[in-house]
Amino acid sequence: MKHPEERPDETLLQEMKLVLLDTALEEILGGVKAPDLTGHILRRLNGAEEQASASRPRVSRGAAKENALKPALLILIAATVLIAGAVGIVLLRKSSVAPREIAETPVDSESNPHPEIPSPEQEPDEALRWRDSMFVINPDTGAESTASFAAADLWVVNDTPESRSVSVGKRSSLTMHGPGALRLTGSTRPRLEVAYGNVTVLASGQDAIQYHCAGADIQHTGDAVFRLEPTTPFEGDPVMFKEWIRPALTGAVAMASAFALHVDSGVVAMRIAGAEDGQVVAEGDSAEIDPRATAPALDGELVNRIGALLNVMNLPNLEYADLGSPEMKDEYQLCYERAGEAMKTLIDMTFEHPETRGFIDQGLFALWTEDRGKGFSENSSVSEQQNLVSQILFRKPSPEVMEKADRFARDGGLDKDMRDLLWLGETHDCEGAASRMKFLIESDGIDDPNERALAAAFLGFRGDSSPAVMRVLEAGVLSDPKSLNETCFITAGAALYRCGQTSAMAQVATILREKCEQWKNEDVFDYAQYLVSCAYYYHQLPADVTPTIRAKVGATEYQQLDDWQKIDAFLMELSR
Amino acid sequence: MKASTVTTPSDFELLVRAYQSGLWRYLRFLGCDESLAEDLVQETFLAAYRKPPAKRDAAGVSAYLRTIARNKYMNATRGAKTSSRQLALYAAEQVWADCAEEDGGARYLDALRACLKRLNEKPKLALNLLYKERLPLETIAGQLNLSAQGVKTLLRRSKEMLRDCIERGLEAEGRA
Repeated sequence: MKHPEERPDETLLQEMKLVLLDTALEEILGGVKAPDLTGHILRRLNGAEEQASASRPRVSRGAAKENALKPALLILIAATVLIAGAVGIVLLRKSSVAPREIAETPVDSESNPHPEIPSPEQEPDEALRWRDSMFVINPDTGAESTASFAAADLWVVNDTPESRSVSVGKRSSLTMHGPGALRLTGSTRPRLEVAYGNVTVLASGQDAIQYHCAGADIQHTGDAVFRLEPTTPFEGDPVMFKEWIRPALTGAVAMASAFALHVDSGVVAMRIAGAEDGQVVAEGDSAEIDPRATAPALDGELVNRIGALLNVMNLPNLEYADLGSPEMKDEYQLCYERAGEAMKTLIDMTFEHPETRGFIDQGLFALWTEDRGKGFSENSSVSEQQNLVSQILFRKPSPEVMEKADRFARDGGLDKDMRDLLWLGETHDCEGAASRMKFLIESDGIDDPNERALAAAFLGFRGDSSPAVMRVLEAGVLSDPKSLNETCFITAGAALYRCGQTSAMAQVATILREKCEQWKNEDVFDYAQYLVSCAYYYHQLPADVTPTIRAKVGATEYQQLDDWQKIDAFLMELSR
Repeated sequence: MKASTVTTPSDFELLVRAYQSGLWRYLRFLGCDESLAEDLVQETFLAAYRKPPAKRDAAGVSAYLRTIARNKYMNATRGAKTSSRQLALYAAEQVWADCAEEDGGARYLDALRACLKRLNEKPKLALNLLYKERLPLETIAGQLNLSAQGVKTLLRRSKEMLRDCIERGLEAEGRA
């Protein structure tokens, strides 16, 4: 496994060891033994060989059950198979394609342009492997018209007579004049950016393929074919889905959990949390359900509506699907409506069943925590119910809900996960959250150094420069910087700066400079940029720094600096 | 199993028998429930049959199977946040390689059994009530005459002790 750009720190490794221990304890004490699956596997293998002409690989019990619940996914697969056929035709026309090598691996124009891409004569399963993982991307959602990829091995095929521009890394770009194929390989992960328009990207490898499209970072694992087509922009863009619908569903799951919905083999059993002889633990987004809980059922209509909510969760994973196709547009719309309906149901329930409000609140915290309220677009043509949801959940919690949140946080109800406290504090300026964080800082009640630093930074940004807060920040930034990850490090450093400890920023800048150099060498640009953005925007440093840099290099020249040069100038300025 | 040459069904059966437990354990470690782990073990071996591992030594085969299993797991559970998840998976892989790669976790389980014996009565009881009896924290707290938070702390400390004890045990065994 190739290591990710960020390395796991010792804390994470130790936590992982505890997870491993947990698994082992379940096996030894809980009697959850490793099964003997030899017979199953051999039977399936024999079955597959006997059905060599079958067009679909056999699926597991779990997958079969899942597919049965997802007829729309079959439509998608059918559509992708058709598109994959078109790609196959493109590949078969390879003799007229003049591949251009841009990496160390030579390309033989007489051979299949991709050794892993099967020809139609090859084993059907192998061909399906590609077809099943083909995605059509419509990056034209307005502001951006490119999609970028990072993967171990990429092919770009231009099957049009027109020119297509392809950027490799951040600085070089190549233009494919008419039909052609490019292969990007190498020990470093090639980074590719393609201007949209009838371009096919073939990506292979066991590592995750990341692509960036219309502001959203998406990841796919394994081999995949991506087709970039300039079709009519879809009015509900992927960002909207990724940043609003998806968290809404996550929130719905959490809320459903808070209501102790127990789903087992398609049977929905509903129980009200906190009922007499039932026991349910609902803790934010990690709500646990005790299936032994018993409670009176709610009325039938409400159960049906909750059933609809569960259907939302059974929708295909749209995040990775073709959001531009008519089929998926319908599916997306359905998802949208159902999510809105599910939220509305849950909100209604708070009025119909006041006894559940405490649990609704916990569900809301989970939802808030997941979403962080950033993705909702004010300009979108939202329906009334979506508006309702957005106003209540994302933007303007009612005073009653906020009051509960405030009290809940103040009383320590969110101590389990600092993210909840931080988010509540940062987003809603919740005094209860701030008060609780102060208490935890003073009583040394936060174990994780990163969470501790973030909580102290939050207080620091609120103007709290008390000895306890300063001690935590200085310990993290100055005494033991390795205990913090990069994000927490820069946040804590910036908080020190805001609290008047300007000398600390020199050290922050020095360490950041080293890290940026390191990232630069590895071409991991986005993360460094994120960190600098964090300092620029989130912590409002531009008022202090950017004009100085501009004045030094001249406004016109500043505009001409590339991003790295701006980062350099920024860090130089901080180092002074 | 020292080496693997997946050329015939009988070879393949040997491969399955040798690696399935470790693979299942690995998937459980990554977060699969029992049923998903079973499904993915099957899928992994079927994929390995279609495309056998290039490296034939035990470590190479094990790593190859884990890679397939991990990718299948990620495919089966797409949707989580990507960078933190990748980091967690990388950490998981590192921990697995350190603790359980050689034998699919068999030695690790032996070490855990030995360490459990050395544990004091109270933490041992708490672990049994949680993992064996599957009781909720509040009930365990009642039985141990502790607060729920106290039980959490006790469990956390017990697990940390076990983790350290296992590590020492494995290291000592490695040296021997």
